[in-house]
Amino acid sequence: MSLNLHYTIKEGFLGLRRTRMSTIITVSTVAITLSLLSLFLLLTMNVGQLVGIFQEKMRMDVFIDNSLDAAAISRLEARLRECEGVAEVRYISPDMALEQFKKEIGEDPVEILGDNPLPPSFQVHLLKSHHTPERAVRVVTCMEQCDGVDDIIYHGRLFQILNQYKKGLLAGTGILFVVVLVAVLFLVSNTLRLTIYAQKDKIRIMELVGATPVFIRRPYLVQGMLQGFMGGGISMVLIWIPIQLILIRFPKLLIVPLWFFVFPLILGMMLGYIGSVLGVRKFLKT
Amino acid sequence: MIYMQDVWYHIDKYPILSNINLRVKPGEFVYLVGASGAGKSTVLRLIHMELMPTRGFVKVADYQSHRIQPHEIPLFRRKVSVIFQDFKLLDDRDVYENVAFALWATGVPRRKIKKRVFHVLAEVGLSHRRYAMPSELSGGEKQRVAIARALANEPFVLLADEPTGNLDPESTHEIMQLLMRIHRKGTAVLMATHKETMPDTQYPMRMVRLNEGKIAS
Repeated sequence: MSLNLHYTIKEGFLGLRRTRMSTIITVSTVAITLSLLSLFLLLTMNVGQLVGIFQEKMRMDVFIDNSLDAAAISRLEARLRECEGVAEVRYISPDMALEQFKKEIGEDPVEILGDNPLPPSFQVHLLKSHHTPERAVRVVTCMEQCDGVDDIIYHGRLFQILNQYKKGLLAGTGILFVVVLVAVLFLVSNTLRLTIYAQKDKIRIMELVGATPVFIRRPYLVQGMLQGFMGGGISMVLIWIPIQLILIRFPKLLIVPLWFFVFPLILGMMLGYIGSVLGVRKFLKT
Repeated sequence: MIYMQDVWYHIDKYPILSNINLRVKPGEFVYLVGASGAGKSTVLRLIHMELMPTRGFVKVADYQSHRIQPHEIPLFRRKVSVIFQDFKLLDDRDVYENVAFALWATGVPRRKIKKRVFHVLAEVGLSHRRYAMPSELSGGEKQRVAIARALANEPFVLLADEPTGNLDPESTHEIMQLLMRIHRKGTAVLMATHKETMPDTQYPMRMVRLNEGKIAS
C-alpha cells in the first residue's frame, strides 16, 4: 500500500471519529432511508413478479352455443384463431369441462342435477405481446363478433387492478428513490462540511506546504464513502431480519434475489461518495 | 530569484500595495520592515502565490504570477516555504509528525520521510524533542519545529512572516541564528518584521522598508 493511500484511508477513518455525532446522525439516517427504499423495491419487485405470473397464465374462456355441430365448432375455432393476438385455441367439450370441474371442486354436478349443465367452450391463450388490458379487450371484442359465441370470461378486472398497483408502486419507489438520494447527498455533504470546517487550520497548512488539492480531498471522499457504507450495512441487516422472519413462516410468499441484500450497501457507498464530492467541492476550492 | 515588477494589490477598490518593485537574489537575506498594516504579509502572500496582483507581476524562479496554472501552485510551494508568527503547528501531532506531515502531504515515499525528518530536526536542534507535543514546547521551540517543517522539502526560498514576533529576546536570538545559518547554506530568506532595530544592529542584512503599502526605501 502506498503511503498516500495509507494516509488517505487513515485520515478517512479519523474523520469519522472527529465528527462522531454528525457521523452517527448521518449513518442512522442513511440506514433508515435505504431500508425504506429497499422494502419499497422488494414490494415492487414482488408485485411485478405476481403480475408477470398472472400474465403468463392469463386465459380466456369462450363459451359457445350448445347446439353447434362439429363442423360449426371447427369453423368457429378457425375464426377465433384469426383474431389478432390469439396464440392458442383449445376446444373443451362439456364432458371435458365436467371432468375438470370434478377435479377442481370435488363434486359431481350430474349426481345433483341429473345431467351435465356445463356448456362447450374454447380455452384461448394470448400472445405475450397482447398481455396488456387494452390489447386483451381488443381480442375479446374480435371474438364476441364471431357467430356461436355466447359469453367470454377472463380476469380482466383483476389484471387491471394488479397492473395499476404495479404502476403505483413503481411511481412510489421512484419518488422515494429521489427523496433518499437528495437526503443522503445532503446529509453526507453537510457532515463533511463540518469536518472540513473543524480542520480548516490543517487544510491551510497542507496548502502551504504544497499538498495537491487531490491529496487534501481524498480523505474526505473516503470518509463519505465510509458513512454511506456503514449506513448501507446497517440497512442490510435491518431488512434482512424481517425478510428472514417472513420467509421462515411463509417460504414462498416473497421472491428475494441475493443481490437485493447487497443493493443498500452499494447504493449507500455510491451516495456517500457523491455526497462527499459535493461537500468537498464546495469547501475546498484550492 | 524573486522579482516583483510594478505590483499593485487592491481589495475591492482599496489599495493595499502600490507600485511595488522588489528583487531578491538567490541565497540572499532580505528584511521587509514596516509597521503593522504596512503590507508586509501581503507582499509575502503575493510571493507565495496565495494572492495574485491586481496589476504587475511576481516572478519566483521560473514561476510567474500571471502564467502559473492552479495545478502548478502546490509544486511551486514545495520550493517556496513559509513560516509564521503563530507557528501554525498541528496541535494533535507530535514534533516528528508535524515535520513529517509536510512530506506526507507532498507524497514523499515513507522510507525517505524518516531520514529527512531526522535530518531537519537535527538542523534546528530538536532531535531530542521529537516526541513532544506542541503544547509541551516553548515559543522558540515551536518556531524551530515550524522552520524544520519549512525546510523538509528543501526549498530555495524561505518566507518568514514575523517569525520572532511572539518570542522573548533569547528565543528571538536562537531563531535569527537559525535563519542566518539557513541563508548561509544557500537558501534565500525574506523576513517580514516590525522590529526596526533588528536589521540595523543585531543581524545586519539588506532591508526594504514598507510604508502604507509602498516601498519607502
